[in-house]
Amino acid sequence: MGGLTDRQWILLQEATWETLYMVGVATLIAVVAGLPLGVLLATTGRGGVFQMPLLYRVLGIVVNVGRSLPFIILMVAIMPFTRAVAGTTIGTTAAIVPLAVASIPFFARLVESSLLEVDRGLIEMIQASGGTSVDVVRKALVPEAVPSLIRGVTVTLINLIGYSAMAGVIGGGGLGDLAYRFGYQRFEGTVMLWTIIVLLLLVQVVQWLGDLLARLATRR
Amino acid sequence: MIEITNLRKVYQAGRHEIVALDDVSLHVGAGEIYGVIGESGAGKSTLIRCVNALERPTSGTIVVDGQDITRLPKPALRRARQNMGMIFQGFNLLSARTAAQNVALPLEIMGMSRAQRRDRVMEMLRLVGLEDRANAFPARLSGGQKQRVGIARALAGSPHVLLSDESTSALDPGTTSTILDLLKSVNRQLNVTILLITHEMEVVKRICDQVAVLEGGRIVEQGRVGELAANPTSRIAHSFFPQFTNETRASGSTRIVVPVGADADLTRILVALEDRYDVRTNVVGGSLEHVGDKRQGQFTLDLANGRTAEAIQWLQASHPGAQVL
Repeated sequence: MGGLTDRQWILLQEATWETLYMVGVATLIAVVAGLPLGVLLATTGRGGVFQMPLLYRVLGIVVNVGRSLPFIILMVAIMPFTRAVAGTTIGTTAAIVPLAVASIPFFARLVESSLLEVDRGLIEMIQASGGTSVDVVRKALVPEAVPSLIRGVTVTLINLIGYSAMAGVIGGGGLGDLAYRFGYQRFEGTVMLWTIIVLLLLVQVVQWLGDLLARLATRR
Repeated sequence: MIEITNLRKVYQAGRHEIVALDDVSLHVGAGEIYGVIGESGAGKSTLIRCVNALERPTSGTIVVDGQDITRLPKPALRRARQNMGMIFQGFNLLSARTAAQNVALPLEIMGMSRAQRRDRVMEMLRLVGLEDRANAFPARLSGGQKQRVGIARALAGSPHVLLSDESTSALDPGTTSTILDLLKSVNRQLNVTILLITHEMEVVKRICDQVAVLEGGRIVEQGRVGELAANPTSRIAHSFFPQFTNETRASGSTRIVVPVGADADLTRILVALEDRYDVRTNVVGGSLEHVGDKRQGQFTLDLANGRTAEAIQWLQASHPGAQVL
């Protein structure tokens, strides 16, 4: 079917699931860890409700270090950490570690910019109502930024689909691994073509879903 | 209810100091509507934001409901703020919440139970005439409706004080008028003290009991609106009523500005001038305005012939404030 043997077809399916698994779990971790980190970035800076310049500077440096490393280098550089966390550096589960590490600071910066775009008047309104700084975050900053945060998750997901292909090359499995092995090492153009089609579809569906959810969350 | 004494606020802009407020003192009695009017940059925003400590004054004291706001530690300040509702020029409604959920916000902060909140929210929405829009999101509300939600929210926690930061400046004249009526009616119904800042003289004329004119961070005039309106030399009267220069005065005549109260009648004055003093009067111009619940007018008259000096004496005695230009 589609110029693929039955065996290749099964491999393609497996690889797709592996990619979804890696990207899904890594995104989940990125959101769970990146959201609080992003909130800290957005609130500890100058004029923030938890103004703490030292913490802000330290977090900023940590996040920038995470973001300045090209993924393929980061992946290799943190192998000892990956082994400590996942017990191995090979395989799909192990690949989740560098993917998550790379996307936490990425998503955190997106969260920061989303929260900074919330109207300052709303922050003052919460304060004028006798609210605490925690109220500012819980009742104004985060809820008002939800559509923008959803777009941030979408961008992170798509970014991770790209990263996951690189993770595949060093033994992470998934579509990148498949394309590399068949397309590059064995000159099986058809398999590569199919991985490209699947990747394209994945990105399209993720973008479409993200846009839909962001639109639903915007109260107009 | 609000006692501001010698308030001073200085901003540091690089090496320069900018004095936003300079020795501002004012007293807002319980149940009053007090207006602070001034042009943009006069310091009125800074003033109102000092009252609920969104900004900290450089020196001076602000006592609200017996508490010195400038000296309160954070938790006590938050409780004090719950006693001061605030409405804003930009409404500041949460776009992700319905009208009802916006009104509920201060009640959540106060820790009120869900059931109590629901009742109170509906009560407040009824008060501002929006019970049928309870589940509408702000994007679906008009400017006037948004400000009504803002007012309902500000009053939900039963505060003693309402702070209004240019609350009608973003509204068209018709909507401004209904919002002013609403402010006046909540002031009377709930006995809430209102401190408002505005650059619109109409707001002062319509609803304020007292007014302070702020210029370059200083109060240049303050007092009861009715009294200032009846005094042709005041800045308030100058902006309430049409002003005429002396240039058009015919030679040999005397130009006088006469405040005309609610009980006075321009015709009666003209008749008296003619009958008693043989004075021929030319009405240069003037107007009669609603100032609060009363009517106050001011007319500029040119007096000629007859016993002008006596006529002026009589005018100044019977209409205090009458002033020869």
